[in-house]
Amino acid sequence: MNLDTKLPEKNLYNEKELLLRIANADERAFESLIERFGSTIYGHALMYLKDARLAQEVSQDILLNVWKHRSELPNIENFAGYVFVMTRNRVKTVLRKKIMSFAELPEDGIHSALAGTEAGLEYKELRDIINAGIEELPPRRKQIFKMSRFGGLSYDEIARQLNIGKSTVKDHVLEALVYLRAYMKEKHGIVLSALLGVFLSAMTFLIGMIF
Amino acid sequence: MTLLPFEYYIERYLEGSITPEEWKSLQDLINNPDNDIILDRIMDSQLASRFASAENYPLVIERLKKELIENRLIKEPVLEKEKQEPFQQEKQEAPQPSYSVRFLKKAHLRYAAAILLLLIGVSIAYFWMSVGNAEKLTTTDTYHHLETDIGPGGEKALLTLADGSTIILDNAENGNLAQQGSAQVVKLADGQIVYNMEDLAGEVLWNTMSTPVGGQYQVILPDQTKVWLNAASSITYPTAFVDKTRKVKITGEAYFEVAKNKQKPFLVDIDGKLTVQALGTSFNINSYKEELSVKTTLIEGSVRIYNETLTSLPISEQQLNSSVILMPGQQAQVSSKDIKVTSGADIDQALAWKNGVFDFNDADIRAVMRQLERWYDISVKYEGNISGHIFKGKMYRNVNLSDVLEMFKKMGINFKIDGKTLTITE
Repeated sequence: MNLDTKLPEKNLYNEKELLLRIANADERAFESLIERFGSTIYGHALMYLKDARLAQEVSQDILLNVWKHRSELPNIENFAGYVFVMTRNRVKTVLRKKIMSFAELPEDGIHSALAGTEAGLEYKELRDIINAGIEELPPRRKQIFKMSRFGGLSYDEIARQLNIGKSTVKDHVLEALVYLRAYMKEKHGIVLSALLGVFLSAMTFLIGMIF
Repeated sequence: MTLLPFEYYIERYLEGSITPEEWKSLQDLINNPDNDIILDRIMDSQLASRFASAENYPLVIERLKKELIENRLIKEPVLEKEKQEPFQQEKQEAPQPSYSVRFLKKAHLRYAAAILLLLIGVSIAYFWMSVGNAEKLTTTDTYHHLETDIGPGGEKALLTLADGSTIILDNAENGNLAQQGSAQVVKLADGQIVYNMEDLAGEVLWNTMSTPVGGQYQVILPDQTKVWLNAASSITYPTAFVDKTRKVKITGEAYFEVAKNKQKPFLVDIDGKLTVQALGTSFNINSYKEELSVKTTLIEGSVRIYNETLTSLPISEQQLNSSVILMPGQQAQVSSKDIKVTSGADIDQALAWKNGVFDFNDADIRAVMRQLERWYDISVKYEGNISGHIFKGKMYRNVNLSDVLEMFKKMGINFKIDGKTLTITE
């Protein structure tokens, strides 16, 4: 894989300098590195792990690893590629572990939701929150997500209607899900069990998509 | 375009539309090396467009910065000390300490020998709720008069065999400790206790491992389940799990990594009050009597919690209905007859003890002191109106009590120490 051709310019014209400063244990420099790569790492982890907390831990681990190996940073030609590969490998490892350890998840999720004691949020309130989250999506993504989720259109149908590629449609839907998952957690600290419990009756489909 | 089966399952998983059957297939395929390459390819293309996009999770960035920089996960404490210590002159008599941040690698129970100073977060942020307490920042130097400092807890436990005989584990030599039925009880070089053979036809013998105040220990049960015991805790288990269930009993606090065995559910009886049923799972149970509730925190897998002692499985509909299932990241707090489930539990905090750290995040002073009592074998008293102190931050557990008191002093907490009694004053 040649990352140079795949990765767009991230405008890291002072990347070398940044890495040198980090190698010298400069926290400010590390902070700006977190700003540049944190969201990217987190977004990928969240897409695959579907757990905001776990995604945060994984992101933290990856960045901590960069810090621990900071003395090697000045020798790295393509730092974005370095982060890229580290993110991919780490997320893969955790994903494997997650997939193998969740043998009973599909059933238990339902039981747990029904047994949950935090059913305080009303259905309408939750629906409003999700809708508000959807409204915050970029226009194109919002349109595609709504067509897919509420319009009941297949990826193929959406692709044809909008005259775009099917994989583009798919990417938009997956990204919308990542965003909504983060949105629920960040803005509302939504509790999984409550959400599932209330929604199962009415919005089984959408909920399956989000969690 | 046709999708390879594995690619299809991954896509379904990401969309959240995967069925239980497909989930099983995904599990079968995920560890196949060929599929690893496919997964790389899928992830590469997603990552490439993600690197190109401007998506931003500002709150996540804030938390990452906080954890990595402010809470000093990245910090070698020695740097922190040089830079941050306005109280340096008080520490001059101390030899230059050597530090370790090894606990971050989850080096279970391996305490670096020479860690002296404590704070990972420089600052344990500390709030005076009442006004006019500024003068209290100058505290008495009482602790300097300690003739002998009180050391932290360590790897200590007592093993009680089926015949009632006992083995003190911190003194015991490595190697064979005892024969229990056909199982040999072995102490490994790192101090772990292992039962090296499970004879399901043999006689069931019950062993108990218990830790004193200021002790902790680790045991691997005959089914390969790993158990970490915190201070002042115990676990009672058979030397072979011959029954239809794997049943153990605990008191105090323990962390479990349960070996998978679907045929034999793993049941933890907590002091005869409740039962946690595990299915190949990692979880922590804190059941100290002096804490307000029994807290079960699930790290991965799933557990079912019954508000009663189970004698056998299967169980009645009613028992099932009154039980609660936890998902990873959730915590159940069981008090008298009520089970409360919260999501997004602080897992770091729940497991801090196992990783050699005190995690005082948002703890009040009494909760902090209860942990210190169990670890330093001291008793804490309060004089006057002590409240409103909210702690934040983390601290290694293998420091001497005087180092902890040093920190209190900086936080403006007033105290007196007399032998093994610590008195917090207003």
